Amino acid sequence: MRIPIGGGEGSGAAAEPPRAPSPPPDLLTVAARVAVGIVALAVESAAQILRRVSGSTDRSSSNDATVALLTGAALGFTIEAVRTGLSLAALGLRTAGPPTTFVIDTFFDAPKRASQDMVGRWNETWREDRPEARAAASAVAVETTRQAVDLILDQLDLTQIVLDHVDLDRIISSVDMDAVIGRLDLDSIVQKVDIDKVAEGIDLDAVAERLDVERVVARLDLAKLSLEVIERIDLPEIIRSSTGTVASEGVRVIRMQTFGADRAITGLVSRVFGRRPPEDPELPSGSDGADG
Amino acid sequence: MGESVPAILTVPAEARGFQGRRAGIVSRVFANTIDFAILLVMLGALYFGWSAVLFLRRGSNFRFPTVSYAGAYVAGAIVFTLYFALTWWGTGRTYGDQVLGLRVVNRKGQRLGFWHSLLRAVLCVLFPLLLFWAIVNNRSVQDLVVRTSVIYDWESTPRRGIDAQATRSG
Repeated sequence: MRIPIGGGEGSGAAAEPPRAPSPPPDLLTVAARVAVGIVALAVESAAQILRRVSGSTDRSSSNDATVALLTGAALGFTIEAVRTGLSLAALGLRTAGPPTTFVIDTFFDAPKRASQDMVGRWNETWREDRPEARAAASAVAVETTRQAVDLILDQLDLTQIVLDHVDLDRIISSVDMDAVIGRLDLDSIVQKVDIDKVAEGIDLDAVAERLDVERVVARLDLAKLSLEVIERIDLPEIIRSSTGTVASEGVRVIRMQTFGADRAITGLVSRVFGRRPPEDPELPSGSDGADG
Repeated sequence: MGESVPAILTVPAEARGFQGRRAGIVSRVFANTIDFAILLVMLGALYFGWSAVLFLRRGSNFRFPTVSYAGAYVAGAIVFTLYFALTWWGTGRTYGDQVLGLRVVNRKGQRLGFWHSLLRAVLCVLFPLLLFWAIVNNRSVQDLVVRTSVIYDWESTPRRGIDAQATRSG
């Protein structure tokens, strides 16, 4: 329950005569109002807190109303007092102003002008040094800011933050990739690429190693191919004749050794008869005419 | 089998160079030696077979038959002649020729006919020593008379006639 400070507020507001438009309040009046307002807010809050802590209910509303009435009266009195004080002070100033000004102008003119000169010189100095000072200051500010930002960023995982809070899909879907690609001059880009140099850099051996030759071979119909080859070369006949040709390794050795002996004898006989050793003995066919 | 496909040689690579050439004396003597051993085995088999027949017929009166040198020589000559003639006519090679990789062919490089092989067999059995004329020019006297040759031929099937030979004569 909130009890506004100032008792009988509802009726008081109705009874209050319309205020004449007052001149704009001076600085002191505003300050006094603010101070009194702050005090009123503090007192009101304190009263409310105390009520809650003490657990009091509507039973004590009559006491509260009394306290609020008294407090409001005190505050209003304070404001009235400040206003009155201010009016008196203004009256005093208006009364004592001209002579005081005269005295001050008379006796303090020289120091005032001297101080004005000094201030002017200082201002001039400031104008001269302003560029350097501003530059130095901005440099300091930039450096400080940079370090501060670094410090902050060190503590933050920006990527994670972006991933957590930014809907990248939506951003990407909002980008017109066709337009982006349309703006690229791909032909000129490709022309800038030195394909020969790229090709030189490619390790074709490594590429060849990565080729799955077995898979290529697997795609061939080797069975059909083999059957065709076997059919064309008559493999069964070859097997029959080869097994009959050389019964065993021993037979082969005997044949080769006797052939060597034959050649030796033939060569010997040729030398005995003074003939040229028959490098290529004549053939037994009738075409060589050896039968006669 | 298409003609464009070359026949695959079943002869070992080291022996292909002299296939179809006339065989030397050593091979032929070795082949004849083996054939002679086979002849002895056949004669023994004939002897024991004949003995078995006699045993069955005579029973307790059985005695191994005695064979005179002349009878053995005649029997051997007949068996040898028939053996040579039939094998040369049939496959072109005796068992000894088979072991040594030889084959008997006529002047065209083909197998002999029956009478041709029989004539050669008779001459070879009657005058075996004339084989050694082959030392001179790889042809025995019988070869010269009946116009035959003994060639190296390791293939199991007979060579395909003179064409195979002619290709080598170049």
